[in-house]
Amino acid sequence: MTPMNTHPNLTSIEVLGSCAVAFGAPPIAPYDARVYRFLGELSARLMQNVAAKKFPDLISFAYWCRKSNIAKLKSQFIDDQIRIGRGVVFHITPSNVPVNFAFSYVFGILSGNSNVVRVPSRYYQQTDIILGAISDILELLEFRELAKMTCFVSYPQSDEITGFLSSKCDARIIWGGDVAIENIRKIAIPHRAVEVAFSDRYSLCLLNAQAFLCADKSKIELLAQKFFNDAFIYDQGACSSPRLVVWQGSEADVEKSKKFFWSAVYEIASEHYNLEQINAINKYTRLCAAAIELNSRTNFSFEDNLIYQINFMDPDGGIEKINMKYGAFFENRVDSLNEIKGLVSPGCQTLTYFGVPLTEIKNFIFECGLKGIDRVVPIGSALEIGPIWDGFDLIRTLSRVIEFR
Amino acid sequence: MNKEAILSSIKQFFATSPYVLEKRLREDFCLEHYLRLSRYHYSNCEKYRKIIDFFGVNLQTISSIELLPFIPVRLFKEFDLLSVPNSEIFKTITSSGTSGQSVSKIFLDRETAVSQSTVLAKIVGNMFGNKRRPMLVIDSSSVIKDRKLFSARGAGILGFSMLGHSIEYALDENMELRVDAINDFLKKYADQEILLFGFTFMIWKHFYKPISQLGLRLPLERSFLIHGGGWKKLQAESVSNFDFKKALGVQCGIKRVSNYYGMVEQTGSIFMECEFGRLHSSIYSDIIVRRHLDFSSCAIGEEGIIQTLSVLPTGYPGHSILTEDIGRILGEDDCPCGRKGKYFEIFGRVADAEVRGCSDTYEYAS
Repeated sequence: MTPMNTHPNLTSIEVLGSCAVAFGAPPIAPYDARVYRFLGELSARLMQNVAAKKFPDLISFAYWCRKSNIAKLKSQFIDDQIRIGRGVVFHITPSNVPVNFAFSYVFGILSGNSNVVRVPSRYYQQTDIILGAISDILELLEFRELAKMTCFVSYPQSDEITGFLSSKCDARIIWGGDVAIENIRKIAIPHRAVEVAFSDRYSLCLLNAQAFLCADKSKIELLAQKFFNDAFIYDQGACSSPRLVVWQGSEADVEKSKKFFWSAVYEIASEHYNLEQINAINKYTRLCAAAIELNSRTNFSFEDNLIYQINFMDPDGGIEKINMKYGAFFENRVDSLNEIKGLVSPGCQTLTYFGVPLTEIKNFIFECGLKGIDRVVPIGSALEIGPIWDGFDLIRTLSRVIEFR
Repeated sequence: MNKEAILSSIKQFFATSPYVLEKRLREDFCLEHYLRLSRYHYSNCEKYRKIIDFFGVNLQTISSIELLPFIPVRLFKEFDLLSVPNSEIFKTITSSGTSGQSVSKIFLDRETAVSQSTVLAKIVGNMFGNKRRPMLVIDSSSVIKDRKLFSARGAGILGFSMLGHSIEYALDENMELRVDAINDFLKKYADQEILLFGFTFMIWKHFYKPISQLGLRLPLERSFLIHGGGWKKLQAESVSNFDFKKALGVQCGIKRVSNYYGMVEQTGSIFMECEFGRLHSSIYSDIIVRRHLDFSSCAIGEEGIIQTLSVLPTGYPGHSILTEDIGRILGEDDCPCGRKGKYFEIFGRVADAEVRGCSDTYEYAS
């Protein structure tokens, strides 16, 4: 581990702001008014930015930062405790989700912290646009304290730099999955510091066949569109992307539902999803790997490579290790939710649903004492990130409670 | 399905010349054998069996070569695929990907290794005549040090070495030209046709370039060069097949430069360039080009993903492989060279894939 008095040259890695200043900036209370105004300003500028319009993920971020949303989150943050940010958060953000670094930063300032954010070394125009807007706003006098609490860095892999930044932080956030976590955890953080690590996750989608069959054509098309968004954005590679589709209902109802559902999804995918040559190969390779790794007998057939539906009959799991991407879904049928107990491991993050009452899902989680499922949201909302994410309440985790008596 | 049945079936292929059968005859001749091979691997390789069962393929009722199941080439990197007991593994060939960490492992039993040599001799003999010639390998002898465990490059060199005699290696262990040794070799065999062999980028970087820089004039007019291993490493320098042939012809005087397409995962498949510069499939190995959206077969001239088939592998289920290369079939049975069979061209690796091929086991500092 790098000794704490070693100072690698940091100015060369600073993209916005100063590490030294950020490490010295004091924490503030969560949901501070200045942060609320700053985010409102950021939202407005990004929404008006002509270049930003090309990027739906960027627009989603900008829309999320708007005043009404932040106000809503603040009002939902009911807390009779006195809280203050922990100090400085060091963020290590994923290289393959362009806008994630911005959300991470926002969670950092909303929780009252100063932030050193490592942005992806891969180039994305979204990164440039967002940093440009932040930089402009932080030059305004009213945000001078926030400017001191903001630093973005970029550097190719360096244990020395990561080690130094880690040694100064009060909290460290690691995005990027198990391998990233294993590597970064070799580098220590101070004893009092907390760590939030986003490990590899997988997600499920649950539909009730009877409710599905009662839906009219336009509702089904809308549902298919929402499922398509959940599944095919990020090539089904996000932790929230559905990997297994569970149908609750009788055999007859489920057979019928599947036909309508998948033909609607197929139509949308054939028009809006571009399966590249390399990904067709990747997908087929994963499929053959799944054939080898799965213990249960499944029957599989496919007409083309756009959507793979893999009937999965093993109640004891195994799908959490098989990473399906580019539009390949495990699928099964159950009569009651308890039957999927074995398929929910700690790695299971999101359950999207249609036609199943929330209470039924809640009861299932509690009665079975599950260690997985951190989010239960309607189909279409799988990728909506927020400060409560992956089972972490980030505002609470990144701030500390002061007891007064 | 046992190995003896497959081996006697393979013998029939050896009794037939590689490029004489036209499409219908060839496919009838080959399909039965590919089915036997598939059933053999189904009985002997658990992982292969799982894949076939998963897809619900009925190996008794396949009516054309195009309907044979195929394995994606990267699976050999992720799993050990073996159709014989460990005691029957004769050689293991490895190929590392650009990611460096995972390694393809191909297990050859004795029979597959032997038949690969036989096939190679028949193809090279057909293309260049059957004489055994003095051979200059454009590589270093250090590549084939370990006789039990080969890199893909070592395997290729050893395989082709059987076609020549008095083998000399043109490079030392630092991959530099052994100029004196080369000159001695060429002087000794000045009146004979010489076979040069090596991997494409090795030849370019460690033979052609230094020769050109040193302004050497080597008496290579009576030689011909066989090379394989892909062009990806030369893409950065924008060297095409055409440039390569021209450069070697002009600088080194080599008149016939013949590329071959092959891969470590199917070492029995050698697709050699004919006198007209076209890669040919033989009776021992077939080629199909598939559309990526649904894996249907491409029309002649249409670009797609290359699938290769080989009649040889018994040690491992490598007889039908979907590669990560892109190319197209140019024609069938009507190449001006007179050879029957499909002839095709390779455009290169699919964009952003793991690098495959024989020559990528050597990483040089750039």
